[in-house]
Amino acid sequence: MNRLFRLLLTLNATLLLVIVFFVQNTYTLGHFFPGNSWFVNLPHFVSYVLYFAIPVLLTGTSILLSPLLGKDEFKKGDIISIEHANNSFLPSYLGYFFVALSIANWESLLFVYGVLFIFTYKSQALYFNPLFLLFGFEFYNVKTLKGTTVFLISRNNYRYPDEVEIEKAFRINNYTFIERSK
Amino acid sequence: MDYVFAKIKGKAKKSIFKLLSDNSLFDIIKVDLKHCIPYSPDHNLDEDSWYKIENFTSKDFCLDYLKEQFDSKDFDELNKDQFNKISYIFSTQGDDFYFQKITSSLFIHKKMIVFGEVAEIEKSNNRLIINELPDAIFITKSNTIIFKSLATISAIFKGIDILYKEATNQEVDDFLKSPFINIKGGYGVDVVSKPNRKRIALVVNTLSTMSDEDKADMHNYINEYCEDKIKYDESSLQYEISTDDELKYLLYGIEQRFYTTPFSKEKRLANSVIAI
Repeated sequence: MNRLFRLLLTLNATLLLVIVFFVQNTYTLGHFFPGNSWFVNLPHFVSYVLYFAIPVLLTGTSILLSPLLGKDEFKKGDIISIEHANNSFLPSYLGYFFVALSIANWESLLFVYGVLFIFTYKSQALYFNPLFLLFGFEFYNVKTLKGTTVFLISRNNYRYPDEVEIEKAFRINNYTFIERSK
Repeated sequence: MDYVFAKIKGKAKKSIFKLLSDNSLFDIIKVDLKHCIPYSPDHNLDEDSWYKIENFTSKDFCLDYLKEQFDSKDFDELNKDQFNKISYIFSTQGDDFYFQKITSSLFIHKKMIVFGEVAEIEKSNNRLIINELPDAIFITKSNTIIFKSLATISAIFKGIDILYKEATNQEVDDFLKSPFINIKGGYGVDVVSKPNRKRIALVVNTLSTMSDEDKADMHNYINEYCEDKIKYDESSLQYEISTDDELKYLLYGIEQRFYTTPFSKEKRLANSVIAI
């Protein structure tokens, strides 16, 4: 279960690269289904929005599935520091975009996407994807009393450590936790 | 929230992993600590009682994670391939820690018939039996650990067997050379049983605190109760010891385990004692 869930998260986090590639090469729905006149007549923009909806929906699904993961509790006083991390992953994301923009053909896409997927899956840190922002989630780096730094995804606006009191946070991996309820 | 953690055998850097969350393994055990018995190798535990060691976190054999604020987030989750390397598990229930030692016999590797809607055969190879009672419970609030058998938990709390003192070969040898013992029939250090070694460790202490007068009286006392058990030579003031059993009675005698009931005047031996 855990492995499937992590694969899904990796997919969500990396799928934007493929979409940027489609947009860059104007691969609209009409391009993929030239026989379907409805698709062909669709404005390009609509195709792109539909593409974009896929990772958004999958991200929504992964949020819905998260209660199946292991749970942990954040008790008052468990953590000693908290740091907002919404912006820290954007540079690496922009990196994806530029890579996608310079991919010339399907072969390179397949290879580049494959490599990116494996590294994202293995890195255990890049699971978080900006699409969570659309669902109202914020990203935090928090440090436990013992010094372990973990990544917390939550809908709450935390400012100082003592505010973080979570009855049930779900463990995406050993360094990443998600709090669903607000 | 309650969790279950597992300790893995071997010398890996990380040895404690999270196994389950939002689950506990054992029924909450309510024990009145006042009625638990401070551990003493001299005592045979009643079925319904527990030994206790108080002020546990100050002991050398206490586990590090019991000494500090425990946080599940500091521990990784256990991988499936490490399942058969578990040496013990513990369940955090409320503020307390319930321990169970894991031996290979607790893993089930058998075919089983499972009765559900229809019976079906199940070949389980990764199942672990949880005992009804934990082997030890650490009660955080009172900083006390309670347990039933020191031998069982010595695999969990390394070094705790220091409390279960067994005399070394040297100590046994020294004891057998005491002036009041006359060894016969090839009896010697190599054949002294484990329980007797334990008793010797205690007796050495007792003897060292005994006055010479008491020691002289002791022989009369032992002789009174053990006339048929141990041969006592009054001229040389020596006991003849040729078997483990004889040694046992002598050791019981030195520990003053023999007594006579005040009303029925029955002679008895206390094989377990507790100071009141």
